[in-house]
Amino acid sequence: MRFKVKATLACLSLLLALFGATVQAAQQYKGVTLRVAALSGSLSHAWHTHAQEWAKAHGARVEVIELPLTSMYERVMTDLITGGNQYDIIQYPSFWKGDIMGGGFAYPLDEFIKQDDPGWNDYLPVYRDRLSKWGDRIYGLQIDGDVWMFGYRNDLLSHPDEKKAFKAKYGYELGVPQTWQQFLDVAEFFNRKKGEKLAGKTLANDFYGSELILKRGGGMGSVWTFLTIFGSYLKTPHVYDGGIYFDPNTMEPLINTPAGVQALEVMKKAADRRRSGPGGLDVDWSTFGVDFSAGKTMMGIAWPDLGPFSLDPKRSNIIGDAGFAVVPGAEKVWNVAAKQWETVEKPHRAAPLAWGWTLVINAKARQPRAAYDLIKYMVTGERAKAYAISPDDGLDPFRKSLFSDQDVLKAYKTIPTFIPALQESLTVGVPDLMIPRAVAYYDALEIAIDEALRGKKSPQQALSEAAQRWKRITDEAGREKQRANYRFALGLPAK
Amino acid sequence: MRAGWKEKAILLGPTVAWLVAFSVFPLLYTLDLAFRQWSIFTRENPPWVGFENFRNLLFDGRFWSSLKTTLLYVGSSVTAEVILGVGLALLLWQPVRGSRIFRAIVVVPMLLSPVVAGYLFRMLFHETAGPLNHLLAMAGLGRVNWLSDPSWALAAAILVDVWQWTPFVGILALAALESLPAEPLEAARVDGAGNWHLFRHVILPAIAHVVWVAAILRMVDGLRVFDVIFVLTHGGPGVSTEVASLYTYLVGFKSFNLSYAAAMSYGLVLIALGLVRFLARGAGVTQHK
Repeated sequence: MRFKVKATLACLSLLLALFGATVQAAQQYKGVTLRVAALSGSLSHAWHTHAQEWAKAHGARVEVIELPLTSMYERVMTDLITGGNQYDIIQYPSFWKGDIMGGGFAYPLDEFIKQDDPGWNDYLPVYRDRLSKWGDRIYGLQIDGDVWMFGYRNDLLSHPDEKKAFKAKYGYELGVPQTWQQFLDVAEFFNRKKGEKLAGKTLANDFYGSELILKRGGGMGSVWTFLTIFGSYLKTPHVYDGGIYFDPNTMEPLINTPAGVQALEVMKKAADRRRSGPGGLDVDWSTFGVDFSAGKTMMGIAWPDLGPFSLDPKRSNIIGDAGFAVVPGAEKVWNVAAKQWETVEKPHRAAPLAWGWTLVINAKARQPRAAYDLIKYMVTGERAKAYAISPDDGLDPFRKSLFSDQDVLKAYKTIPTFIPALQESLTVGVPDLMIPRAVAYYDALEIAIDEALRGKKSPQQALSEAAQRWKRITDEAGREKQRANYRFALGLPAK
Repeated sequence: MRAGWKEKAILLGPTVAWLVAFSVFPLLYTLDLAFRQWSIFTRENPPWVGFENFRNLLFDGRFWSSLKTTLLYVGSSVTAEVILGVGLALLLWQPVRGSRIFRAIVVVPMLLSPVVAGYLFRMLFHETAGPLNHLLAMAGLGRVNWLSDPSWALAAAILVDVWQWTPFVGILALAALESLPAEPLEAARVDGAGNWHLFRHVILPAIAHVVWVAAILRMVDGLRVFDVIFVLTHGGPGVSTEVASLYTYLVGFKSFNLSYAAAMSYGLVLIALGLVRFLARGAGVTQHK
């Protein structure tokens, strides 16, 4: 009898303790409001869904401030610099890292991560070690695994009639382009007019042989197309650490080397109407994404979102027909040290880790622990998986475990090349420029690209002027400081 | 009874304080900034660099290119607005039924925020989905790459400005027309003057000073244009529609080189002052004729 009473009392105590703990967890951040700066549109979707779940569970409030792409940088940086501190959490692209982390505006997360692991070791090393840290300290959690890939119409590439005709015209087997020359050949071959045949069917509209993102402005434009091609033509010891922008010893820009000129020549040829759609220099990410999934274009290079887009019944006319591969490469490379061209045995590739959204907590956040709890929630568990599968979030896989997750593999079952292509692309990933004023450097480069592609200036002249502009930006920011920052970003010792 | 200095101070004080705080101080602070090199990221005391920023401005090709774009924009849009505005005023001056309703409708574009106007036309000018190209295609004229062709993009931006601000010139011209005494017009008609002669030698000289002032006001506004360009083209394609104020904004808020942006702003102020003075002299000459 006494045992029964004791047991009952013990159970009741346990229940009460559990109930109390649950209530406490539910009220853990009661009264706390966290303000999040996120890009407007699809990239805010996760905040409007998952973040609100977290808020409800913790008695907190999450305000999502959507910022337009064209002014997001100015608004975030002005707020941080002037101490307005309107945002507790900022979701930013990796090339702002030099300004935000380097500027001391981010809260260090090392202690939080030790106490409350966000699956740190499950992060893909390239994002964990390159994008989330500044020096030895951790300041960010990656929420998006961006790396540029090559998307194409697999059904057309493997069509027997097309293969036969291609071989007859170009003298080699039609396949996934391995080099930029092959890319141009395939683009020319598949560029068809309304009324012509494609894979045995008569076209009701023009079909574009390719569509490269070439638009200046808007932020998601031509720079990354250039970097993909330029990086493939460049040989330095630090390509895959992000060493394609400057000489780390002298801060001499590398963009105006023959590798840069060659890249622009390829882009000009690709933009020719004989190889691409009518958009030409006005094609941005959204245009290409829509055209690709609508089945209007044969191929292009862009973000991994192409995979889920191609499977989305709301927008895709090519479900199951898309193929994915690592970006084409170069057959020769410009050796920066030797100042000469060298042929390579296998194509040399460079896939920009373009943008790659990171979450940081404002260094002056009033509730850093609550903010950490929220960002940890956003990058773990079912959320991370959802981003890998859904076409609505604009986010891509950033964890190792996701590549073997059964739900993820099942989601991409009809496009089996997607996951292997993503994994292979990461092995040739090139980080963005992550030093202060990266936005200004990219802006100058974008203008040069546009002027060269429009024929206003020769590629060499345009890139030389951009390089002069880069030097001026470096001098304004402090040459020695920028050199130290750049070497830091590459993982090199400060000299 | 004359007010003593205490009364004057009390009455004028708040206004003067407001002006000093929100007009004079920012102007002087910006001028000081233009002579320094302020790096926001280091947050140090900005060192004095003298005229270095202004010297850099003289050799900044992109600044002069943006100024050229601005002057082209202003010259074209103001000319079109004056011609169309006077024409509009003449139409609205006619005693037809419903003219009051027409007058109300005509001012609607002016009431829109420039951002809204810019976005509206961005939709209209859309190369593939916009109604303008659709109408052109129906008329057999072919599509125009309004916003992606450098040859057309500035024209598109000018069109937006003309659409929005022609009514402004029209309203001012109309007010001048309605204040004209009837006798000179009647006398001219009696003397056998035709419509064109009446307009050229009687009406136009009488309203010229008002139209000139409207042109100056539009010019000053046009030199500061930012929002329409920002929304419509963001300075593109390339830098073909990058006006001076947009370039200043990019220097100040994308590169965070506020010192150089301050120097640029003052450079633009001096240029604008010179233009206004030149045009104002023209208005003075017109008035005294």
